[in-house]
Amino acid sequence: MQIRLENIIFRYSAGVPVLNDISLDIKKGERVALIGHNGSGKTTLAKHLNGLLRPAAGTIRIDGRKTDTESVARLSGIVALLFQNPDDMIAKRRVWDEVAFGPKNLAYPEGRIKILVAESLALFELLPLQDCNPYDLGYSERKRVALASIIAMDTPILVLDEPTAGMDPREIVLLTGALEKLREDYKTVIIISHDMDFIAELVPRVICLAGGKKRFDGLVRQAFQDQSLLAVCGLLQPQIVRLSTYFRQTEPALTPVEFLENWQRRAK
Amino acid sequence: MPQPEKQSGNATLFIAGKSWLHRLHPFNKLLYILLTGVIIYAGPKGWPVEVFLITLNGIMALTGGVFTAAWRLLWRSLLPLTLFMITIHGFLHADNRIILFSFGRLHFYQEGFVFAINVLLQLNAVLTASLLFVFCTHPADLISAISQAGWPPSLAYLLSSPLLLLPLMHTRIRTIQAAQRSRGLDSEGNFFKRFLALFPLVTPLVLGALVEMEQRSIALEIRGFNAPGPTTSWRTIADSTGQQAARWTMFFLIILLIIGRIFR
Repeated sequence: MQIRLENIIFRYSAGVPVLNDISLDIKKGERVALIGHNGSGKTTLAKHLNGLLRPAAGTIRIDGRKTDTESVARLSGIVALLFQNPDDMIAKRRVWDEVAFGPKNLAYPEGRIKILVAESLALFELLPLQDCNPYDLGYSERKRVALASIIAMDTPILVLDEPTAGMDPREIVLLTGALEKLREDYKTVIIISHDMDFIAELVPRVICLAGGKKRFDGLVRQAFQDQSLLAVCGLLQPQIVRLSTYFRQTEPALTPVEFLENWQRRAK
Repeated sequence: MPQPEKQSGNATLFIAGKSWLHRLHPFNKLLYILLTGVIIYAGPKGWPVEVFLITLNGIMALTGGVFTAAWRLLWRSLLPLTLFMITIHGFLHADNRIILFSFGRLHFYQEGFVFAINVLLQLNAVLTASLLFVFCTHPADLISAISQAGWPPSLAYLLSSPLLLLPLMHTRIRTIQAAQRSRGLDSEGNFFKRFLALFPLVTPLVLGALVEMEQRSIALEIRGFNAPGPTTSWRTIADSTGQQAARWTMFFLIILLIIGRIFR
């Protein structure tokens, strides 16, 4: 499903707009990162996509249809949103029930719910924990439960707010696997993150926000090469890009593999 | 119509201001509420006293800049009660004798009407005095006043933590609501749907509050909350001999009225 935002303006109260004239297009199946400093408007923008917030001006279209009269409950069947804090979401006493909460609200048939829940639990290695109370689990396990419960909703669009926060490297590998599965299923994924290493490796396109304005929309490689843009958006280059720049590689590497390839090419 | 996510407001009723009422020592305002209550229930009876107190509170609210807010809250809370009380007592009060008017076989009586009006005036007097306190006293000022008076800080914390936690809880409810609505929970529409939508909010709210309470107490503890010896206060609450005298006067008046009531 295609997302189109046209001249979105939003303010929490009369005064400075939190989102100022934001326009963007995201194609079906695309993976995009929303980056920027704290308070730049990333989460506020994400909440517009499923109707939790409504713009003061401008329009949001999903697949050409305006969303301003659609209820959140209806939009939740199209756009799933992962909240930063898993504890804001978790409401059930069993991991399985928690993951099934969204699909049940969306009134999917029982057979489909079982398959979706089992698949999502498997993606995050939660099957052995499916009968546990989510509140008996650790923070990062609860984060995985929250991620699984969003993916189980099987929506064409997913917005993940800080999906890597609090997760260890092994869990981030699980998340990477889940993102691959979503790509195969041709789902649109928007990731909000401060984890620049994660973004450099996994997301081809970034949208940078600063002070509620869109400062950049393009390839991740370009964004990380533009020092003045990074300064305006309060961002740091990923470690691998810094290393690559230090060794004066002509094309800065975004992944360790790219770095080594550059290295070998130069050695030849 | 879909409801966009509302932003959390201030859940306490405090209205920022610099009036004399705001500057007044919190204990004076608290004692004034107590005095009003004691006058109503132990002092001289009759509507002139009640009307005098309500007028006095009205003038204080006016000079304190909180009259409009007080008026708005008052009529909203008292109007339904007024209609209910007048109807019930006018028709059904036990002492009803003199008929004011009738609808067929239903009679509306003077005694019940007078009784309802009297109770409402009494309620109004105490309520307006309380509103002066809650509108013009920041919860933090009350805590500071309690600890400045040499009372244990844990008492101040116990009294004020619900007030200070309210805005936080309010914000949390909104976030949890938003999270559940994002997962397809239909909290819009008819009353029944809204009622059902409340259940998934309870677990995250209660567990979140418990976790928060534990973390808050640990955070306070490691920052020396229970450290022995007197503590210094960042906020100082202005006090004066005049205010102290007024406090003692109110205190003795309350005692006198209570004694008077016992031996009457």
